[in-house]
Amino acid sequence: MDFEKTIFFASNSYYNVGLEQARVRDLSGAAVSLKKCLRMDKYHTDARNLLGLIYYEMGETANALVQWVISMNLQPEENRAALYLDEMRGKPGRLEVYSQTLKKYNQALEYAKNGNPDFAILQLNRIVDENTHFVKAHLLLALLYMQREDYVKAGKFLLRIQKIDKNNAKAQYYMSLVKAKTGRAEIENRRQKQAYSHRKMEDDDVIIPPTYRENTGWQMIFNILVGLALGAAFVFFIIMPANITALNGKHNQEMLRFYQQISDGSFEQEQLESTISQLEEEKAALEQQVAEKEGERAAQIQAYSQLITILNYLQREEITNAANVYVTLDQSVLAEDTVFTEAIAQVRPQLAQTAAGLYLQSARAQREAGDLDAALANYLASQDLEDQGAQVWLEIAQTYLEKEDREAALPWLERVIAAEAADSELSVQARELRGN
Amino acid sequence: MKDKVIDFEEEIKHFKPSLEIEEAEDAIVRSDLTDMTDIMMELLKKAKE
Repeated sequence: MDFEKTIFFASNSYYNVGLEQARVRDLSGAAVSLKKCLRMDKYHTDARNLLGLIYYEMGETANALVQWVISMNLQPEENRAALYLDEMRGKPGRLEVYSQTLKKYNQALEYAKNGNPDFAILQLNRIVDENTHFVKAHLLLALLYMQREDYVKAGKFLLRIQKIDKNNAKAQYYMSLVKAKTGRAEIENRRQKQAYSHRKMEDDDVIIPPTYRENTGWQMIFNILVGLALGAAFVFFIIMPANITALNGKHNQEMLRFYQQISDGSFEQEQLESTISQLEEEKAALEQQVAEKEGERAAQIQAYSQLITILNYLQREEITNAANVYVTLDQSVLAEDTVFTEAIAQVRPQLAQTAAGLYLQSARAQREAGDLDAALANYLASQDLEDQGAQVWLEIAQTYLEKEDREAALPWLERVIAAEAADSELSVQARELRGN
Repeated sequence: MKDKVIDFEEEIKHFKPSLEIEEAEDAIVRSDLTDMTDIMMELLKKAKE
């Protein structure tokens, strides 16, 4: 028997099975078949490229890259993997986004394994909002919600997995447990309202971080020292009683002067150390009083803590991480605090594009899930940071109309009509919604 | 006694970390690309010896 022919036919058979499975969204099954194909014939380029696509579709971007690079090595010419790799390289920041997602997942898994399910859930919710087809993240999130006995939420994420990877065995197993606990009807009702319809990642889903600026010497010093100063100052700037409010005001002025000096590049090292040490002393003295304060100040502490986190990320040029924290920051709790608002004004330009993109992603996801109020808040937050253009204005108008608030929708529709050509699709849609 | 639907500790063991982008290069280098043809060639070579 000619074993080469036998192997050739066998590998093709596995490939054909894998291709059919992929077509009907049985991605787990397809991956198994394609790996068998490649075990028969490592040079089966189509199988390897398709395996990479399946990994990519399931959110395993690094595994996808591995397959496409190997594919190019085994067949450098006339290989579709070149196109996929060019796509990955062609969008600046895209790999960074994927890289961060995978890191966050691994971190969340560690949290879950180390008995910190709350942190894990928080992290995973962010991941699945950004990457709606990362199957493992959805699966882990479902497991954690089942552990919390929140079976309806677990069911929601399992349904999403089934839209991405129809025969995912683990998801099917968990779903059987969830249905046993909750009853099928409740799951089905939720599915009508809340399950995502799967869509492929498109260009505007990717958050493209702004071009990193060169980290000049004075900027680095500025960022480190602002972090130190805020770290020293955040506790005593939240004091409530009137006598301490006066102290607060005085220190605000000092801190502002401090900022000015750093920005001007005219600070002296000794002066700086003296100011920090003075702040440390006062912080120690006031900590006693802070310990007795009521819970409403916790939000302010949290806000300062988040600001320090943002500054630290910016110092390390991790714009996406900084933006992720920025979009959760409740700036209203310290709206009267000049130091805080000045610091926010400093960091906002660096984060605007990334944070605007994150807000927009959340808005679209929330709108799809039926949470219109949250969607509008995020749409407007995104628009506030950076003008998003006519498509987003139209989505804002549509969201208002879905809330039956025609009066709020009209100005956005007018804006689209004014900005777009009369025969453009956006303009036509806007006029239809306006009622011409 | 609570009726446990799932043994979390057992299930979480099945979850493995995802390969990170920075690890891709290592993974490519370490990839085992042995296929049936390689195995058959090796067997034939041994048979001839």
